[in-house]
Amino acid sequence: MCNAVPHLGWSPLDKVASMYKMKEKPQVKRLLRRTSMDKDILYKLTHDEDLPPLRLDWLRPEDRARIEATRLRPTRKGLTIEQVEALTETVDVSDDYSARPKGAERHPAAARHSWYYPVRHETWADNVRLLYEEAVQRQWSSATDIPWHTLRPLPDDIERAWCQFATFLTEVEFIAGDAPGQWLERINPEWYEVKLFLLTQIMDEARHLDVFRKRALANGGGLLQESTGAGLRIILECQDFSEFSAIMHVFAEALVQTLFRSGEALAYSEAEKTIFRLCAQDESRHIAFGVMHLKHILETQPWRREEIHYYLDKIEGPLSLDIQSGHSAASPVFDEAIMVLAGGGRKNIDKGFDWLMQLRRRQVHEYVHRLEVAGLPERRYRLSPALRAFLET
Amino acid sequence: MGEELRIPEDLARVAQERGFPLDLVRRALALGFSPSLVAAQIRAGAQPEQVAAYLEEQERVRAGGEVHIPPEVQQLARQRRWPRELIERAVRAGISMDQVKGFLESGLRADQMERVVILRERARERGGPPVTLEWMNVKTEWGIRVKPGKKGLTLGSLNVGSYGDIPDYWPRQTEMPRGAAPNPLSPSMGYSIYEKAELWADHAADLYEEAIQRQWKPATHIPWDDIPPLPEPLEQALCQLCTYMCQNAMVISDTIGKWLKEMSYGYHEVKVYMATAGFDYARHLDVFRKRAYLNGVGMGRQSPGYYLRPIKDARRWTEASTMMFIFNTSFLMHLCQVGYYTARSEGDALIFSLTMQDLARQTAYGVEHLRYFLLRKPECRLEVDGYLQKIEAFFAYEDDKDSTLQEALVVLLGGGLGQEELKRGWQLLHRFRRRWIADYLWRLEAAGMPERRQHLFFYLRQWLPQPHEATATPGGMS
Repeated sequence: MCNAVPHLGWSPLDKVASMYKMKEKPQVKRLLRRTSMDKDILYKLTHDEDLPPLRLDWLRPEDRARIEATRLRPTRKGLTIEQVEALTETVDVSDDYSARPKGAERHPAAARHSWYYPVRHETWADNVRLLYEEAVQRQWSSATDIPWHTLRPLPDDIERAWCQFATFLTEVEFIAGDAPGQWLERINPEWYEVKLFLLTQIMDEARHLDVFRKRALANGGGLLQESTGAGLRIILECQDFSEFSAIMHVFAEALVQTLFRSGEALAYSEAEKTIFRLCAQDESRHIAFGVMHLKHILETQPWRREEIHYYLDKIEGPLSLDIQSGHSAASPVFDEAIMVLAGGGRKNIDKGFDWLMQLRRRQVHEYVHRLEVAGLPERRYRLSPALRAFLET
Repeated sequence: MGEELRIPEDLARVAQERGFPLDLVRRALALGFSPSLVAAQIRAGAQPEQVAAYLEEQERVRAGGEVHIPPEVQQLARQRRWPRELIERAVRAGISMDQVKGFLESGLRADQMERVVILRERARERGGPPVTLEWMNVKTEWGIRVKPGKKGLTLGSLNVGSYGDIPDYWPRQTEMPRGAAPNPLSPSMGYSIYEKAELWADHAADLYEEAIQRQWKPATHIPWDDIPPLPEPLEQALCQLCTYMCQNAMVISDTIGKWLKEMSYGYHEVKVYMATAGFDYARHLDVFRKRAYLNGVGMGRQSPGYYLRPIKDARRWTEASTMMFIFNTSFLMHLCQVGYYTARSEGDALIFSLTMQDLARQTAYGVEHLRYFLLRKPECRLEVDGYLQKIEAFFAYEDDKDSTLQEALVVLLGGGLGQEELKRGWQLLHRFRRRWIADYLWRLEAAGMPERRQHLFFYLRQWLPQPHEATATPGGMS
C-alpha cells in the first residue's frame, strides 16, 4: 500500500507545452484568456520542469554516522518523548525568538515569532513529558465512555440540584481551557513539552465542559442558574506563567479534583460516578504539573517565594468563603446544589451541609499538603482566614 | 432545658458511636452551636475533657464574665495591632483562645480576623447553613432528556428546544452556558467574538465528536519497531520534512490557543472543536519529532518562518481560520501526500495517513466556516480575497527565499542525489504541487470563492491546473 504510486494522471504540463506551440490558433487563444495566463507564465510553465540548481546544504554528512549508531526502540509504553529527549540537550536559556523546533539548525534569517520566556525554569516542570504521554494515552469520550443508559429519573429536587451542579461545571471548566491557550505562544519552542502538555489540558477541559452539559440535558432536566464567577476571572487575568499555574493548577483545579474524588456521595448512577472518576483522573495530571512547576520555581528561583504567596493570597480570597453569604463567592448556587445532592434532597440539607464542610476540610488539607510537597510549607500559617478555619477544625 | 435542646437523632447516633457524652452535646447546642458543627467536631475526634473546658469558658463569657487573655496572647496582639475588643468578640463568638493565638501567630491582620469573627457570628445566628435554593425556580427550559444514538450521546444532539437556539449575536460577555439563566452579578470575561458569522460552522459539534473518536497515540499506535532507516540521503530528507511539520504544527497550535479566549461561550461547539484541533497539532509535533529522532538524525534546519507569520498576525478569526484551515492545511496535505507516496514502511505511511485524517477535519471546518461567513457577510468577500492574497504571497516569498524544504522533497521523491533522480524528483514535486493547488482552489470553490482561481498569486499560477483538471479531481489526492 505504502509504495503504491498514486494515479497522477496525464501531466497538464505536456498539454500546456503543446498549446504553447499552437498559441496562435484561435481556440488556444480563447483558452489562454479564460485561464488568465499570460505568455510569460506560459513560458515559465513550459520551461520550469528543468532542474534548477540545488544547494543541498541542509544535508549533513555527520548524520550518516548517527544513523548507524542510533536506533530508538519503543518500550512497553511505546516510543516516548523521554526517550527522544534523552538524545538531546535541554538548555536552560534560549535567546531564540523564532519558531525553531528544539534541536533544529538555526536559520540565520529566521523571523521572530513571539516574545517567549527565555529561561526554562519560568515554565518548566520535571514531570511534563510523562504527563503529556499519560494524557495522550488516557483520552476518553463523553459520547461513548460514559454509561448514559444507567441514568434513572430522580426526584425533582435532586435532579434540579444535579443540573445546577452541572450548569456550574460546564460554565467554569473551559476557563481552564481558555487560560492555558493564552500562554502557548509565550512558551519557548525549546521547551515544547510544556506546550504539548497544555494542549492536552485544553482538550481535557473541552471534554469536561461537554460532559457536564450532556449530564444536565440527559435526564429530564436542563441548565439552571449561571454562577457569579467573579473569582475565576483571576485565572484569565494572570500576567505571569507561574502565577497562572499556581492559581489554576495548584489552587482552583485542586479544589475541583478533591470534589470529583469525593463525588461518590453526589452520584446517583454509574454514569455520574464514571464522570467523576474520569474528570478526576484528568485533573490529577493538571495538578501534578502545577505542583512540580511550583517546586521547580521555588528551587531554581527561590527569591520568588513571597511573590508566589501574593498570587495565592489573591486567589484564596475570592474563592474562599465569602463574608456576605457564607458560601464560596465563586459559586453560592454550586454549594447549595452540593448540599442538596449530598443530603439526599432539600429536606436533608443540614446533612448535606455537614458533607460540604467535610469536603471543604478535605479540600483545604489536600491543598496545603500539595503546597508542602511543592516546597511551600509555611503557607499553612498564611492561609486566608476562611480557609484556615477549615484547617483548624 | 426545653424542646430546643432535644438532640437530633443523627447527632445522638454519632455521639453514641464515638462514646461522646450527651450532656456535653446538649451544652453545646444550648450555646447555639449547630448540630452539624457539633457532629463534625465529634467525628473529627474532639476529646470530651477539652470540649468540657471549652464549653465552660464559653458559658462563663457569654454570661457576662470577663474574657481572660493570657499575657503571651496580649503581647502578640500588640505586635499585630489587634484591639483587645477583637479578641473578646472572637472568644464570645465561639473561637477558642488557642485558635486566637494560632491566628495571631500565623500573621493575620486585624481586618482579616474580623472577617473570621463575622463568619462565625453569622453561622451561629442562623443556626445552620444559610440557603435560599432560588436557583431551583429559575425559568429555563426543563424536561430535556436527550438519549444516546448509535454514536453515543453527542454534543450536537443536545441542541434541542431552546438549547438548540443558537443566536446570530451572543449577548453575554460572561461564561454563561447557552440555555442557562443569566446571573446579573457575573463579570465580563473579555471575549471579543460575539457574532455567529465570525466563527460558526454548522458541523463543528460533529467534527468535535469525530476528532475525539479518531484520536490516535503517537507513542503506541505507530509501529516504530518496523520503521527501518531509509537509505541515505532519504532519511535526512525525511527528517527535514519532519522538521518542517513540527514547526508548522507548533505555530498553528499557538495560534489556535491565542484565539480560544476570544470566542464567547454562546458558540461552545466551536471552542471545543478548536481544542481538538490544537490537540491534533500537539500529536503532529510529537509524532514527527519522534520520527526524526527514531533513526538518529533528529531535527534538520528550521524554516525561516516568513510564511507562518501572517497566520499568527491575523486580526480576525476568519482571517486566521482561512489561512490555517484552507491554505495551510491544503499545503500540509500536499506534504503528507509526498510523505505517504515516498514511504517505504507501513509505519511511515501510517504517520502521514493519520496526519492527513486530522488535517481533513480541519479543512472541513475551515471551508464550512468560510462558506457560512461569506453567506452572511457577502460584503467581506474582497477582504477575504485580500487575506488569501497575503498568505499566498508570503508562501511564495518563503518558497523563493529558502529552498530547503523543496530540496528535501525533491530528494525524497527522486530517491537519491543522482542527477536523474533529482530531475525525476523535481518533476514529481511539480505534479504534487499542481495537485495541491487544484485541491486548494477546489476548497475555496466549495467555500463560495470560485473566483480565487482568477486571482491566484502569480507565483502559484505555475502550478495552476487546467479548468477541466480542477473539476475532475475535486478531492486532490486519490
